[in-house]
Amino acid sequence: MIKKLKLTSKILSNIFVLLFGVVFTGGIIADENATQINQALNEKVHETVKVDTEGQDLEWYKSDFASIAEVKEYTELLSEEVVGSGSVLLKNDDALPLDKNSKVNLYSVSSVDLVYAGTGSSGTNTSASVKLDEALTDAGLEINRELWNWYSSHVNTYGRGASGGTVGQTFAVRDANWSQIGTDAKNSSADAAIFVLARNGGEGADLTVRGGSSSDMSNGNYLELSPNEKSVLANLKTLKDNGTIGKIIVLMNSANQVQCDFMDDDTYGIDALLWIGDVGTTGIRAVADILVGEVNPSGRLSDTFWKKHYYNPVLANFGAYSYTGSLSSHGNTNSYVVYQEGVYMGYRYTETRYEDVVLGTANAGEFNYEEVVSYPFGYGLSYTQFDYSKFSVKEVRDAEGKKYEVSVTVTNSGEVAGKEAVQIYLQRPYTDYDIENYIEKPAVELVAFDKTKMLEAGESQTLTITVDEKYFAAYDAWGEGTYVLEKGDYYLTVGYDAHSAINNILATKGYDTSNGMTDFGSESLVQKIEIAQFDAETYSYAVTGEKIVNQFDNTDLNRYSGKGDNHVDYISRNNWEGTVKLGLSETHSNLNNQVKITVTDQMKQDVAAPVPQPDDIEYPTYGADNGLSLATLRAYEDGTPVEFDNEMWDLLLDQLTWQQTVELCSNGFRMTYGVDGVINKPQTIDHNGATGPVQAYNDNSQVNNDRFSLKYDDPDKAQKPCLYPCNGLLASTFDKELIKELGKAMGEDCLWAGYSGIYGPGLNTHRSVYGGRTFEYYSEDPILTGFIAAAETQGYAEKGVYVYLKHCVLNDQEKNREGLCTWANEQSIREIYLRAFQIAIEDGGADCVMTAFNRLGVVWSGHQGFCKTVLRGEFGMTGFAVSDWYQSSYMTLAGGILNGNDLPDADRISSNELNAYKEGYGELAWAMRDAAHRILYTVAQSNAMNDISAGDIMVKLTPTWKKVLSAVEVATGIACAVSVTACIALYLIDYLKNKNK
Amino acid sequence: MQMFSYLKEKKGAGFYLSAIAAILSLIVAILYVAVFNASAYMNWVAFILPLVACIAFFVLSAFKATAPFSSLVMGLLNFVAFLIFIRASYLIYSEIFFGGFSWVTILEARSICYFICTLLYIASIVLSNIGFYLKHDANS
Repeated sequence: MIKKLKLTSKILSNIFVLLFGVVFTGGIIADENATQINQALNEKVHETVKVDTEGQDLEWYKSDFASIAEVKEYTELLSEEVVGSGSVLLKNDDALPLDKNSKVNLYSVSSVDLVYAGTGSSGTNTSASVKLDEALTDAGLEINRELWNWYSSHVNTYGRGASGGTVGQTFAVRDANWSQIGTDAKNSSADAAIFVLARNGGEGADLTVRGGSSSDMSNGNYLELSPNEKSVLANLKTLKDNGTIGKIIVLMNSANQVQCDFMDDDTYGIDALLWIGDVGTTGIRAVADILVGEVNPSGRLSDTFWKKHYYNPVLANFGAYSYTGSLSSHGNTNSYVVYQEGVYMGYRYTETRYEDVVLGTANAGEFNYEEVVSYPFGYGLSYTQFDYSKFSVKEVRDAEGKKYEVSVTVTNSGEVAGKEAVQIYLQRPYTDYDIENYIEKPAVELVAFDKTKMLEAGESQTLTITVDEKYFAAYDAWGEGTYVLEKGDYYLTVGYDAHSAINNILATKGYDTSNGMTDFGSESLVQKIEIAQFDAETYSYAVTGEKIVNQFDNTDLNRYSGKGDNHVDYISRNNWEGTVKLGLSETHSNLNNQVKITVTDQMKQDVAAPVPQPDDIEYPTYGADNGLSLATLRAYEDGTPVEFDNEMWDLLLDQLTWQQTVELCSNGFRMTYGVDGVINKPQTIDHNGATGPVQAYNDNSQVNNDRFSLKYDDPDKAQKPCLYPCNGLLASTFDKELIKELGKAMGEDCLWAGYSGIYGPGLNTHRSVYGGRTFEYYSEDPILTGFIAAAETQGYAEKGVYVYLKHCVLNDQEKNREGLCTWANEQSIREIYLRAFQIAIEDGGADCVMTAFNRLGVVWSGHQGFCKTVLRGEFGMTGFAVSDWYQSSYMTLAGGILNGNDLPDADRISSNELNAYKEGYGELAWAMRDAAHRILYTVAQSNAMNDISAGDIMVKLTPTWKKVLSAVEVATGIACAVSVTACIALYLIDYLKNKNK
Repeated sequence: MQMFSYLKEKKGAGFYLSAIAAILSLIVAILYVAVFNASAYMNWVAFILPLVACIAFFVLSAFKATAPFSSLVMGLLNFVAFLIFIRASYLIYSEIFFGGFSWVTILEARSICYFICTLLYIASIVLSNIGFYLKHDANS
């Protein structure tokens, strides 16, 4: 009997010990990830006890619409307008517009399976998007149905391969070649053949330059025509030659441009090319309207379109390269990339080298512009023509400093109405001082832009565009260690694109086609400005009044104190031949021209995360009873926001307990933490994405029951918002007003979905067209990116939404992004990669940023300190910085907070980390308080404060799953204790029995 | 001497299974510390406990009175070590699967080592658990 009981209790205690251990540990892990569990289970975690506010309107941010249906109707129409305004007509040999009722044949499997958006955290379900046949039919065109049906039934066989990080890393085109198109309908007569050339990209993987699916792509290059696509286009040319079809039109449906060498190839005889990017839910309707002339295209390229991508020197240093030696055990930290091109990226390279070839500068080397560039930055055709006249520049001075008012009269000299994007370019002098101090000056740079109203045929409009003189200054890291305005001749010009701008300047300098220019320029569209004195003072102060000094010495390998024998030869216009290196040969074999780096001892030391040091600094006050709520600090009675530095904030911050401060600084998983009690800071939803909200309006409904979709119990609350076009298309509108409206529309989506913050827009640079997240970013140009993002930010702000500009900074590729060491010089960082963020913060009022996965030099971006010194110190950012998806393997929360990265994109896991510093770390405690201040201030100005009044008190609720888990823990704990006790007792009894025997 | 003499006696299946578990404990401890010693996923208790478990097993097995409990003690220590290991390192999954399912990331040496560590911990717990129910002394 005892033996049986012994065995039973042994088995039971075994089971319960294992069970208790698993449940107990699971409970700890669940608690660390409570936010995600709550979101997944739609658990309510707070309840607000409201005071009577009857008769008071506490809805600080209102919707302009009565329902989600109305919001979507508006946003879809606006999105359509953006695509109409941003699509770029690149070639048109009298092919467009098509007559209505024209018969069209649609070719390529992508014609029935368009690219509506990229993939990853800003991707979404695209099934509700408008199909091309529907859009064309509605526009009055007659579709070859038999051909359409054949393609529709062969999407699985010939559809694009999976692309983007969230669904794999295979990039394949797979389209059917001519002989595989198994229907005679392909030979049917038509007025036009429309070929859809589509590519897709996404988060987590860059597009393949080499090594893609070699079965259907030459050289594995995802961004050139595949042999099958060439076969179809060549056969279309035959049909055109024998009169079966009238013309060949290509729609380039991709945020990442396909190289355009095929456009000049007579084998294909293409008559028109329209770049349409990723079109979003309804944008294809606008494309159809462009094809039939209902909409006159007015988009201008936001990137240089290369004839062959391998001509782009960036590709010599794009990807992840292995150090000689080992830097750290964290996988990707052992890889690096060097921005060896410096400032000569995109058109800054092509136009500058072109100028130097025309000028006959020594070491310009062999460079044939027309072999390299298909369509320059800023280029785009219209169905009408625009002439520029009465160009003038007036110097003005206001409180902010010296500016230039550039006036130009734009006349529609064609026959149909249209809009024109007016682009102002600047040339700064390239001087001996520059050469001595490693400063580089591109030949032309966009400094301002605007768009005309709709000009009827014959109508004119004079635009006056202000150019800030601060853009004349150059960053001088080696000499003055700040911005300098050099003595010399500066040129301001208006150009139809970057290339016409440099031609205007060259014409002013006395050059023409006899000197190798590709076209004549117009001297009358140029104003020369002479700066008489070298000035290292005026632009060395930020808008905050802070002195600007070097902040990225450790990111520039040549200035890094731990560089050892490493050195970078940045591209210099003083020596094109010696410094420009290509990454690929013409046959796309790797030339291994990347900068090589050997790990040094100091790199090994610097790669370690900063650790807070104990100190004697007194901690802030915690848990004071000052009776203030966040609602009190939202605004004064007249509606003016309470200033960031108002002393009342100190009183409010004194009320926070240590634990509340810890939680505020530890919980940033698409949210900010809710502080209960009198302070009553609501928990917010701050969701993805870079191209607008992508989740359903009722997603995460536990957090914010005041969201409009639930508050008004909208019948469409389970729907997703409009899918907006890619950001490159927003930039190519060159239309700040339109994009501000779009930002406001996205803000409407946020209001209805309950988001107070949005993880976007994406402000990284189109450094390489192979970047996976190109669809999330705007342009290769920082001015265009910055001002378009600023407009979008202002639109969001009108609906009480704060933006997180991402991913700050130098996160321009996906390969090994988690921990990758990024090396670049300070001039290129400040004049290109950070400038976009600067404009969005200074001019757009952007509140927050998301720091990036990568390292600046060997230090993670959140530890580097630029959030503190540059974003706040110089640009005046008042909000907070959240990390990208928190990786505890190389990011530390305390190190981040000390260096200005306020919050992890992570759940409660990291609160344990901060609790280790409860005593003896005063500096960190004050940094945490500052971070809490920024979070509270930002949320106070947002739509999260809708329906909250000063007397409301928030009460925390224990979620059901937590109660169940606790009950299971107790039950298994008791069972474990009982069974183990029984087991021991039985063993003792047995032992004593045997002993007595 | 007495210790060695008992160890020399004929052993049962429980002992041999547990001995395999003890060796696995040793391997997992070495692998874990070798791959993750400088990472945020390292917890030294999860490294030390399998070593202690291994030593404890052989020490307890050396005495007739304590030999029946050797598997139990080892299994318990390894179980606690495993829980601590999971608690310390589970976020590695967010690293491996961030950006989606990718064989490239899964097959990286570090990921493979992590999966092997997990499997070895589990295997040593299971084997010592089974060993606890089987005879350690072939003659008893």
